Amino acid sequence: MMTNTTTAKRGPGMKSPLVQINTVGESGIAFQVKGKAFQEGYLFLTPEMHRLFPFKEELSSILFVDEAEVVHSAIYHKGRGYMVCLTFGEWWEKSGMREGDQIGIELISLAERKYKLSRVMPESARAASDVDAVTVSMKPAADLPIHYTPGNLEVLRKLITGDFSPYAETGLILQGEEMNARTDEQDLLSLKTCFGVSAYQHQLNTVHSVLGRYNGRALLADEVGLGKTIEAGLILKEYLLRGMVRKVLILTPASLITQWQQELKTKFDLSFKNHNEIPDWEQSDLVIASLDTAKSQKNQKSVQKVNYDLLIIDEAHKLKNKKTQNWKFVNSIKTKYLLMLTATPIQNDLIELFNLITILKPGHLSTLQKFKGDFLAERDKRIPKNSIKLRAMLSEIMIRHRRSDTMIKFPQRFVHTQTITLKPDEARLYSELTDFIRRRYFTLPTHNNPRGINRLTLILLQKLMGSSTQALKRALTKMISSNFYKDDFDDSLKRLLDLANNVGMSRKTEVLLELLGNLNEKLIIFTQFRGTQDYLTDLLRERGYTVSVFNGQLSQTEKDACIEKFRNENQILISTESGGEGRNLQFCKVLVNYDLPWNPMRIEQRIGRIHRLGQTDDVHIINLSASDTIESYVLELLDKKINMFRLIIGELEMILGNMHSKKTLEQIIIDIVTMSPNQEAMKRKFQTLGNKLERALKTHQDITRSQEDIFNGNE
Amino acid sequence: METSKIQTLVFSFMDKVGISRTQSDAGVWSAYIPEAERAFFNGYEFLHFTFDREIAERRRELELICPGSFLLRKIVDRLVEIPKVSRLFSNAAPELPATGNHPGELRVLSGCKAHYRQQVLFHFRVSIIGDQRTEQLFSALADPAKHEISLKEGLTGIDLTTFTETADPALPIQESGEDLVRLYLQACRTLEASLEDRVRELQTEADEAFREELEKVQAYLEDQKKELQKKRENVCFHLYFFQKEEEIDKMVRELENEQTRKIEELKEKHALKIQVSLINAVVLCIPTLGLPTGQTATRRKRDSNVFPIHLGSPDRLEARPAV
Repeated sequence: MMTNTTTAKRGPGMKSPLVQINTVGESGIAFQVKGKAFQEGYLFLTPEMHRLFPFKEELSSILFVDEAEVVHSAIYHKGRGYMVCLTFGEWWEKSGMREGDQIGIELISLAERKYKLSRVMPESARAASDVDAVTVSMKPAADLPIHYTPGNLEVLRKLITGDFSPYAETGLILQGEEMNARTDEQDLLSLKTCFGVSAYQHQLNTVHSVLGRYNGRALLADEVGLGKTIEAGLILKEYLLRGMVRKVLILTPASLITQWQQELKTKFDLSFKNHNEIPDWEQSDLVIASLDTAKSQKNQKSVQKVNYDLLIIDEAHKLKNKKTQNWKFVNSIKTKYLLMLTATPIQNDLIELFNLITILKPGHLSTLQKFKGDFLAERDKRIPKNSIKLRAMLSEIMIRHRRSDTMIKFPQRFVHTQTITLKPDEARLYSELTDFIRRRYFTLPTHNNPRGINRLTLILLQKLMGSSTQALKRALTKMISSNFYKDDFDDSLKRLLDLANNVGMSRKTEVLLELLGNLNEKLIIFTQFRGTQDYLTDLLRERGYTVSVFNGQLSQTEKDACIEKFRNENQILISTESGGEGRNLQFCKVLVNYDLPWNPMRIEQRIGRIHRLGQTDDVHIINLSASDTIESYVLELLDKKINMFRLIIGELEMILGNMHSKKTLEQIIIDIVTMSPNQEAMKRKFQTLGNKLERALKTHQDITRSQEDIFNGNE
Repeated sequence: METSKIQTLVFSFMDKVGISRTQSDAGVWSAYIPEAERAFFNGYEFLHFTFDREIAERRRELELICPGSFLLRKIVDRLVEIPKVSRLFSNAAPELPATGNHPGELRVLSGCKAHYRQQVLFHFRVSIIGDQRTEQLFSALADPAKHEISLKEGLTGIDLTTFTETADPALPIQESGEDLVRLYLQACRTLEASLEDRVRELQTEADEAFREELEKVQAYLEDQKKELQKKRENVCFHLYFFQKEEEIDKMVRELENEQTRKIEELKEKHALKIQVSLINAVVLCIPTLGLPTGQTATRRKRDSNVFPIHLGSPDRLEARPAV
């Protein structure tokens, strides 16, 4: 064991022959040293001196500050009763000390383990005013901001006491350290553990720019469909892997929380918790929340207390108005790095852009008055004067790519809607079911009638009918056999079931078979319901088609196998909504919506399985829609009014955002269906909704044009 | 780093912190996280993980632990906090003492005994944290017998074919008498000296960047304040001027608070910190033929990428007990 050897073992209780104490005060001591030990860096402590260093640890770091404010670092070895400092000798010489001169040590701060080191002049040489003044300003010895990790002394202690571990353990940690150390500044560590991320050049450029030139604070304003989320994910992950960031908060609209969480997990292998899953804001490192939740009275103060390393704001155009709670709240969050994401940093006027930039870098666009004077044209608040100067200033804080700037080929979507006329028995069933639902919707369970059918179930029945008679039959059979509805509802349900049983092959199915007869390539058929899925699977297999079936009931292994079989062998994949999330289905170019969800985002997600950044071929979307049904009205809204199927990826969300409605589109549709007294009323309400969507689309188009003018005008 | 080594490292960490695990499938593990460790795993109670990227590609619900993964980085950072020191014995033939200033001269050595003399290899990680973060690894080999500290960038790989963890019982381990605390301090000082130029450069850059941003922020906030004060002056024309004045005063106070906060944020952002961590230390015992008292050893040739520092004057090369 390598230990310090001495001729006689000294402990803290023993007097040192090399030190003579002259005066002892409450927080200081004056002493003389003999011999050369002090100049060589050793101070051996007497019992009185030990009291001045009341530390429990075997080894402690001590700082001495001399009269020239130079800091000397020492290590106090309690067990051995001495202090080592390499620069005691330097101080001795600079202070002009000689043997016999007195040295003074005085406590400055016990918590910081700081002491004053001084030459004690004889009484006559001391000015009276110096006696009690201990004013020290801290300065590192070489003016370098170097800190030694406290754990260093633990290693030293083990070394001194010979507490050795097997080299396998030590060596393993060294290998881990080498692995963590980056060899190339330009390497992006984040790309090594991403999944399904083909980072395009414009995305890599953005990441490098933010990490380098923009120092972690930037407005990411790429056009829709260019992958801002991917850019933000890469930047976030890179900061985490470089150890520059630990506490991260992502604020998004509530509707996007789950999507963000899933993308961060599936693509970047990062597990974020949403605000409902955390015990408190301070303790959790990776959190995603809605802006509304974070700024609520319950949470606001807690969020404001936390020192975040990185804050990401999605849909940042919601912060365009400085007077709003949103703006004030986000501006009050403490964070080192900040990313704001929006495809539309300007919606109505340039002041919105000013307000966004002010959160990122206050003063970057000068004051508001000056900004108005320099850049706002009198007539049109969206078009700047001095646009070149403005763009130059923006280029220091904002990154914006256009689709045309990238070399990416964006595939087109081709939509084919097959309008189907229901057969008489189907139409009758549909009509009777719709009436039943309309009558029952407002008949809630009461004390006298506790077995009412709840609203969700009623809406579900409506949707099932829109999917397939077989799915409806299955549900009705279950409801009847459950005995839960044994009252006048029971007869109505039985009647509906009888009608459903009398329906043969539906017209929709016939159309599907005709379609398949003409198609000779792979396709995906989406449906919302297992009942429809089972029916179509049996039907198609009976007719000799090779079919893969995908739904949420499959195990992971089964899901993998299903997709592989579809990729390599089978022609058709029939999938429910869970189909293919995170999986690459871009080898398929044809998608059939056998039924249509009332939530357009779910339709978008279906399409997104095959139509996304990375798809090289155009895709075909086939909608099967029975006329005069709710689904046909929904389809008309989405196809004719907002041209949904021809939008760029991501545009739909922006258009729906322009409706500024507190309810989702699906909720509005449910209200229309259940509150319309008859078919005609329902049609009129759908038309009104259609007009609103048209206006939202127009707003979106206006905004897009103005972005183009501001950011790329005069080209 | 090979997958098996990463696996060993991760399992070693889990054992240390009391995390039990089971293999739930080929290449897939599940671990129960005790409450004390959940904050480290972002609050999760269970961890399902794999070291195989292909498995992770197929099963995205699994946590992938491999080079470049965030969790692995965190685990290594935690492990480094556990202090470790090892000792290795060279199995090379004993070194002969240097021949002094007369090469080729025939010397007779008598009374020499073979023994292990000790060197200490300190491994440091230097983290330079400012607007960016870079890390460098250093090794400092302290040779008390020669009063030298050799510093080099990177970690010194030890050839385990030439070292063993078991001492030859026939060779005693000679205490160098050199104070380990002092050796450590000298190694730190050597390290600081090698970093000085670079740190000064970075400090200057950081100070400039801070000043630039500070000027902009201060100017902006001062101008905002002036605008508010101007408004306050004009408020006497307002019907409810007391109320208006109060509102503006409140806004001025908020602005001042914001100014303080933003300046603190800027300081924090641009503050340059250099953190030196002693990852671990390895004592290397080198078999040597001892010198009779009075004879001195000369300096060895140095490697091209080391920075040798003499600890004391050439007259004091002979090891002596620490006082």
